[in-house]
Amino acid sequence: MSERDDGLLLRSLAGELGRTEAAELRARLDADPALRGRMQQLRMMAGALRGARHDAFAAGFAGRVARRARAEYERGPLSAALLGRYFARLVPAVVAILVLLAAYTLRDSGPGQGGVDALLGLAPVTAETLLAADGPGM
Amino acid sequence: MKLRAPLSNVARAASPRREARGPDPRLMQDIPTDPELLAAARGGDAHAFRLLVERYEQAVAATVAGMLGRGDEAEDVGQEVFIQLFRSLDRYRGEAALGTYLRRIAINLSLNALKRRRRLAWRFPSRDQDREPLPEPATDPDAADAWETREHVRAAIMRLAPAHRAVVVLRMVDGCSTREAAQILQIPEGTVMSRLSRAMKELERHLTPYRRDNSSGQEGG
Repeated sequence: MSERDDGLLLRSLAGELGRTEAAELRARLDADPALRGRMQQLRMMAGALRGARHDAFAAGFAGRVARRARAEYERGPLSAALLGRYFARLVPAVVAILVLLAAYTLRDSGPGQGGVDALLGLAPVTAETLLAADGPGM
Repeated sequence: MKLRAPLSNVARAASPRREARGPDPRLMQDIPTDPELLAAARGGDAHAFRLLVERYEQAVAATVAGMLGRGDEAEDVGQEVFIQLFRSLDRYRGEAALGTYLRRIAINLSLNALKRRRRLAWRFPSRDQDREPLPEPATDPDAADAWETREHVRAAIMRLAPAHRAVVVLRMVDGCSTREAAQILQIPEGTVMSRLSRAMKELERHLTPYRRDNSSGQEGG
């Protein structure tokens, strides 16, 4: 059975066909036992699926939601969502500051300094700086 | 938060359980509409918001538990759906029906939860993953049959890819129309139907071993 025929039969079961489409389908069903069989299969499936519906959450659901809503209401305008929105506005400014700092440290980077070190403004590591770090005792 | 008497008087009339039997005609005229409840909730009426939660709990439970299975994760996502509604009360202008709007949030949060679950499964593989907690066994034989069928169908739904699962849950389990499912998933109606056709074939493949030849005589053909 084609996908199109299945769609037609499913729409018929839901009463969604127009008068002309319904009459055409009735004529085809009268003439085609395979289509009738498919209709019956889909009708059974539709019944089984309707029976599988979950009807409610655990008892007291509305009360639990109402308590959460009340907590949100009492928290007022400084809710997490609003804070999130407020800080989201700062993101472009923070990114711009970071780019400026990176440009500044790159400009001041010395010879032989790696790209990441230069970007982060870390001092170049040389034999001289290592000896200095180890102290005069060595 | 304020509590307004006129809305609290109709809590019982508007509850989902009451809707199952049909609303009490004496109270029908007092049942606030969604826009009325939304307006009251925007004004800080906690009870109006709670009425909205009660009104749409079933729809959200069907969507979220259909996508994720029962358990704490579904409860958390279900709560988050309504909290997101609460946060967006001022922004929601009713472009889509409230049920459609909530189901869209429910589907998106469920898909995010499935992504998180996949990431966790990748980092911490477990033989227990993707298994639902088992419900209480039924004692009555007829009820046991129905329970088994329901559990098999739910397990088969859990094996579908998320995109197919979403279509099946909305269109076949929750009973949304094709148009509504398309609006919720923000895909064309044709895509809904093609995904649904493929998903139904896959479900049939999963469920064939469990099918009982008690209703149509199709098994032999």
